[in-house]
Amino acid sequence: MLTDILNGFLSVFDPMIMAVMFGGVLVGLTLGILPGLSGITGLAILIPLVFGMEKTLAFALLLGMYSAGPVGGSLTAILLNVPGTGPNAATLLDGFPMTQQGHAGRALGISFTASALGGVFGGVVLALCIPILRPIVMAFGSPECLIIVLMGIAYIGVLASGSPIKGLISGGLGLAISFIGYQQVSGLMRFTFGSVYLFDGVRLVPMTLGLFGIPPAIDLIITGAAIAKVTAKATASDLIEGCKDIFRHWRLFLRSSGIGTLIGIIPGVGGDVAIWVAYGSAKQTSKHPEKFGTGCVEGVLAPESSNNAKEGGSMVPTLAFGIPGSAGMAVLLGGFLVVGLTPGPLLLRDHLDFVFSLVGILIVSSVIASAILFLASAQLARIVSVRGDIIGPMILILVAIGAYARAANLLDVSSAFIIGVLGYTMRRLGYSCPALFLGYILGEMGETYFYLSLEAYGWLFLIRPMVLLLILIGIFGLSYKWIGALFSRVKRTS
Amino acid sequence: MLRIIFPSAVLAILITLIIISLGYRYTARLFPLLVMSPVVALLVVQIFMEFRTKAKQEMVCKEDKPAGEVTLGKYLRSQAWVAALLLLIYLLGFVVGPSLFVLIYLRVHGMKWLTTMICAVTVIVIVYGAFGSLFEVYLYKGLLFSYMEG
Repeated sequence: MLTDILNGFLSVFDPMIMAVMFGGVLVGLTLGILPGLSGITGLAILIPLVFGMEKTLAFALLLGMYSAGPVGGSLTAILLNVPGTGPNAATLLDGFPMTQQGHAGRALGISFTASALGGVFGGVVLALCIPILRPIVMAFGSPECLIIVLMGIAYIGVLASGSPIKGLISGGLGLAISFIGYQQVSGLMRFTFGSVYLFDGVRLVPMTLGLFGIPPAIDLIITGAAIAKVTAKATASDLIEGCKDIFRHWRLFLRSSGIGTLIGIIPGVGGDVAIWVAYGSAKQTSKHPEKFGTGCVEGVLAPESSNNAKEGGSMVPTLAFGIPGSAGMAVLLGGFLVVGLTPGPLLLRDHLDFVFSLVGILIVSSVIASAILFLASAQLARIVSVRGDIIGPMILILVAIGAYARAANLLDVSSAFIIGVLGYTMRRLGYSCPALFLGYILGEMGETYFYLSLEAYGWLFLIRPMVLLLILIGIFGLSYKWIGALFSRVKRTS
Repeated sequence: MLRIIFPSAVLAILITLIIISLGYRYTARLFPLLVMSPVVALLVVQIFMEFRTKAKQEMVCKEDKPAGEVTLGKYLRSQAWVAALLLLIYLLGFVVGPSLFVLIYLRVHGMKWLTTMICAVTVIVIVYGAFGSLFEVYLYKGLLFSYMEG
C-alpha cells in the first residue's frame, strides 16, 4: 500500500503530466475568471478530448482545470465585485471593499495563499481518509451499493437544488434516460423506438456537453455585453502582506479549511454552502464582527480557505463510493467512465496508486493556480473585458465540434443540442442538471446492483441491517432541514 | 407558462415510457417501473403546485416581471441561434458552417467587421487546424458541398 501511495504521488511530477496539468490550470483559471462559466463547463468541453488518453494524464487535465476554477473566480470577486463562480460570492463581501480602500493586492494575496493552502489541506484530508474508508467500502455488497447509488442521486437532487421535488424529478428523469438502449440483464433493447443510434443509449459526450456546455453559452448569448473593466492594481509588497495574513490568522485558516472539507464530504451540499458556513463561523468567532463586510481580512480568508479545501472533501465520497460530493464531481464521474474506470470499491482495490495520483494532482494544481495568479493576476483579469456575445457562440461551436469529434457522427451534435436546450430549460425553471446527469451516469450501475441483490437475497435484501442503516442515514440526511424547522416551530408555539 | 408546459411534457413522456415498458419481460421492466412510477407521482404534485402558484400570482400581483427574468422572446431567440448553428453545420459542414455562424451572429450583434473577421478566422483555425489536422477528425463537409461534389 505504501508503494502505491508513493508511486501515485510521484507520478504527478512526471514532466508530461505537469505540462498537461499546467495547461488544464490555465483553462480553469480563464473559465473561473469569466463570470457565468465555471469548471463544470470546462469539464464538459474537455471530456471528449481525453478519450484514449492515459488515465493520470487525462485527470491531470480535468482535475487541474476543475480545481483552478474557484481560484480564478476570486480574482474578479475582489477586483470587480463580480464572483467568477458561485463559491466566490462570499469573497466579494470583504474583498471588494478592500479593493475600494486601495488594498486590492493584500486581498488578492490572502485569496491566492488561502486557496493554495486550502487545496493542500483538502488533499491531505483526502489522503488520510482513503486508508480508513477502504476496508469499510470493501465490505459493501450489491444491496448496500444500490442504496448508496439511490441515496447519492437523491442527495444531489434534494440538497443541490432549490426545490426537493424538482431535484428528485431531475434525478428520476436521468435514471429514465439511462434505461434507453441495450440492457445487459435481459439482452433487450429498451425505449429505442427502432433507432439504431439509440442502441448504445444516449451517449456520454453529447450528454455532458449538452447539459453543462450549452446552458452557460445560451446565458452568455442572452446577457451579451462584457462584465467590466479592471482599474485596480496590486503591488508585489501588498501581495506578500496578504500572504503573511494567512499565518497571522492560522487558526481561522485551519478552521475554515476544516469546514470546507467536512461540507465537501457531504454529497450534494457543495461549495456554495461551504463558503457561507466558513464566513459565518469566522464572523461569529471574530473579536470585531462589526468590521465584516467593510473590508475585513478574515472575511476574505475564511471563504477562500474553505473554497479550495472542499474539493478534497468532495472527492472522498466520489472515489470511495462513486457518489459525487458536488455537481462538479458528478461531471468528473463522466471523466472516470471515459478513461474506463468506475469509482467505488473496485477503484480503491485495483487502482490505489491512481487514487493517490489524484490527491497529488489536486494539491499541486491548487498551488500552480495560485502561483500563476500571483505572477499574472493583472494580465489574467483583463479576460473579463471580453464580451459575452463573443464567448457564447464560441462555446456553442466548441460543444458542436467536441460532440462530433469522438465518433464523427452528426447525430451526436444534434443530441448535444437537444440535451442542451433541455438543460437550459431545466436550469431556468429550477430543476437540477447535476441530478439528471448523476441519474444518467449511475442508472446502469444501480440497475445491475438491483438485479444482483434480487437474485442473491430476493426482496429480503431490503431488510439487511446495513441496508436499513443506510436508508435511515439517508432519510435523516435528506430531511434534517425539515426536522430542524419542525422542532423550532414546536418550540416557538410551546 | 413554461413552468407548467415543461413538467407536463416530461409527464407525458414518462407515462409513454411506462406503457411501453409494460410490454417488456419482467427483468427489463421491473427497475424502470420502480423508478418511473414515483417520478410520475412527483410530476403530478409539481404540476398541481405550479397551477396553484400561478393562480396565486394572478390574484395577488399584476406587476411587471422581476428584473433579470428571461422573457419568452429572449428565450426563443437564443434557442433559434442554437438551431441556426445546427442547421448551418448540416448544410455547410464543419469548416464553413460554424465560421459563417460567428460572422452572422457577431454582425447582427453590432460587432465591428475587424473583430468579426478575427473571430471567424479563429473558428476556422480551431476546427480545421486543431480538430481536422492535429486530432485527425474527419470533418463533415455538409449537404451542400457533398451535393456539389456529386
